[in-house]
Amino acid sequence: MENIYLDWAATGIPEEGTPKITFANPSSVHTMGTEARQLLEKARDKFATLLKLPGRSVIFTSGGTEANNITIFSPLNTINIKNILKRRLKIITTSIEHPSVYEPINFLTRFGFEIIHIDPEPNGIINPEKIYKEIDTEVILISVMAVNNETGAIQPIAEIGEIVEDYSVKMGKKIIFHTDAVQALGKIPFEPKKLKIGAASFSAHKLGAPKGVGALYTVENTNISSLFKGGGQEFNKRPGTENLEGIVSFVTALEKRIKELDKNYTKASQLSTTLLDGLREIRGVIIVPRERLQKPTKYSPYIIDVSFPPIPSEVLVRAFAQRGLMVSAGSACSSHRREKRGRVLKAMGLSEKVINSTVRFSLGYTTTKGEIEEAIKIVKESIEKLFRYV
Amino acid sequence: MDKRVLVKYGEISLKRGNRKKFEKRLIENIRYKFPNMPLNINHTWGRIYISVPSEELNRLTEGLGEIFGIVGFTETLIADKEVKSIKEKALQLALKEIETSKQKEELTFKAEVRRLDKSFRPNSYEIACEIGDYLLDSIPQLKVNVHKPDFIINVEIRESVYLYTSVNNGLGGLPVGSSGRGILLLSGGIDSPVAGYLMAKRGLAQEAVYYHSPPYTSDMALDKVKQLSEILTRYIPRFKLNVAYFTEIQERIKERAREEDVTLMMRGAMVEIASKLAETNNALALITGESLGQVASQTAESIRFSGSRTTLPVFRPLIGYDKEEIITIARKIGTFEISTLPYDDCCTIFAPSHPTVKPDFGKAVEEYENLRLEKLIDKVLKNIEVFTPERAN
Repeated sequence: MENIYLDWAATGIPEEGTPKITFANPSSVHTMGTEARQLLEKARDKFATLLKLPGRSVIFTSGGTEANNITIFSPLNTINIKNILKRRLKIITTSIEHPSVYEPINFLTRFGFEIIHIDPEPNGIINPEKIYKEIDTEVILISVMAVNNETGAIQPIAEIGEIVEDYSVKMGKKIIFHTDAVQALGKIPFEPKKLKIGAASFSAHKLGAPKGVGALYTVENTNISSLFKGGGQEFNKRPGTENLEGIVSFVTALEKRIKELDKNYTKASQLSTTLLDGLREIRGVIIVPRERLQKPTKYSPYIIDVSFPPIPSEVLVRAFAQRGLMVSAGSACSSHRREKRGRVLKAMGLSEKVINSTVRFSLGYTTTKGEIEEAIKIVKESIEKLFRYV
Repeated sequence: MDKRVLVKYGEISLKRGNRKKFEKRLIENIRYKFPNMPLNINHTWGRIYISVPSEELNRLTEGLGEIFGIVGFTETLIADKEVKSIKEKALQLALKEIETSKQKEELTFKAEVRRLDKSFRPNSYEIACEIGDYLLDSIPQLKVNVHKPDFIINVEIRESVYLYTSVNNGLGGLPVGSSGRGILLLSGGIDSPVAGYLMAKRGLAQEAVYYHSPPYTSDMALDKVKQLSEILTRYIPRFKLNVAYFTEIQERIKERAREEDVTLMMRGAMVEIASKLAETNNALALITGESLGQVASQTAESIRFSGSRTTLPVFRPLIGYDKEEIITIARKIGTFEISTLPYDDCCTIFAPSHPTVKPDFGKAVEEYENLRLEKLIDKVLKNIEVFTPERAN
């Protein structure tokens, strides 16, 4: 390090082991800061290019949760509170959203918003017709996730995008169509412009990049910005010193995933078929939802839900973990709040018996055939034993 | 070593022979409580005096409040064995009382003098008067009130002269270990930690046993019990937790026993294991948190059966307590919040929907024997993992 660094108030010199890029604060005016700024913008451009988006349409956040919250709470920034309370503004969303969409939307009821929750069909997929029926002049936001994190069900984003665009053009009114694309990015083909999306949330760590980093795409002329106020970073939409190491790692990983998307998708499809075939040999197994066996392409091959009633989900997870297989009991985030688990599956009409025994297998680009075969073996042997006592 | 604390101890009924053992054990426990503190323990004339550097005083008095056998303790000043010095120290105490007192206009006091060294002159009454006069002269706002004084200047004349005002209440009870050693059946619930605490109060040293059944019970439930152990170890020196892997026994019972007897059989096995553990660990009693009538497994018939799996005495200090009373104690000792964390220790998939409430004793014994758990129990004992909780000091 030839420079003498005396700008610790802007940012500190990092510890050993942090990635080898400049550590300076991109907002610093000195040469090290400029270098950091250039790195940041280069990362932004790369990210946008990979998703075929214009450069300035992407801002970086602390993760998918923040990106979702920024979008959802944005109306409180842009619409006069008095007007919000006078009218009865509406938001259309689904009952299968991730908690980081579901919870903030529900919170908006305190400001007089009316929330319409669309339930999925029993196959876990939203019917776009049902959304169409609910649109009226009071709707300002529609939020539907791209891929459900519990079942892997791929939602009809393109159709919904069409519906929203048609309405906007017809009525001369803008409705923001937002999608939580956290489980889609880098896994299934996803091009926001093509899908006519107004805003999309992304998360880095689902791709193998670090935790604590995400991104938010917003179409031009949309006033989406964070309720947090501060130093004006990210085009004044999201204050806070940018997590440069995280962002650079995010974009590096994304580039690789996008480049190999089709190849990985094919492999994942084969692996998930193998997994499903293996699990189906177990007596008493229930694939969630059953329809995915008939229409596999409607579900992300990276996420598979199965149930083994009446063995409780947690017991299954622990039994598999004892043998070295790590899976999830429902959505990873909801293991903090027992009472709120099962909302998604309940909305699909599944019984409590099935819901309480569900585990989720989810693959990544590194998963091998050998691992899947071993996993099947572990599941078979564990279930055999557990069923003896239950 | 400029601060001194007087420790009052003992049950009044203690006979002379036991008193020495009691004192020895108490001093051992005090030393054990403060391993890194430089303390000087002086033990004379039926009193314990502890000297510590002044920066350790708070830590010492906090800790003394957690040691069974101590009835009261207080910081004390030491005077030379002559009236002038005694009066000076008494004044020091009085000034401190005034400083910390809420009412500033008029404070009343009384001097109580105990002269254990009868060779000292003048006598107690005269010394008290001298102190009284001196304080009244020196501090105008003081007045004497022999019936209901705001504070009392206590003076004890022994080999030295000790002066103190108010006495902190100790926990009472007997020093842990003076009644032997027991095995506490610890679950993550509210009752068993309280049972352990109450028996420690009667001088019973303890180690606990917790029955862990992965994958049916979670690591978080085990963690909860470890946290409870960390609290109990404050009151119970040399406390440790034996984690017994109970899965195979639970499965065998589920396979072979009648559904409604599953919980009953499990409790029987738990008592038997704890009993065998007691034998290898020099313990002579078991302790449980059972309270009569609280749940199905706590009827007299069920307790008769589970108790029959051991010949050791089973101490059930909560047998006559209401839930509210137990919760009050749990809050006081700090275990309540942890006990109410939502991690079950006994997986509900094994709990029968209609458990036996009044089992027939003979039939229950026969059913238990037919489970043939001997080899599995040996295996459990062999594979016990011992966890020694961290001590706050």
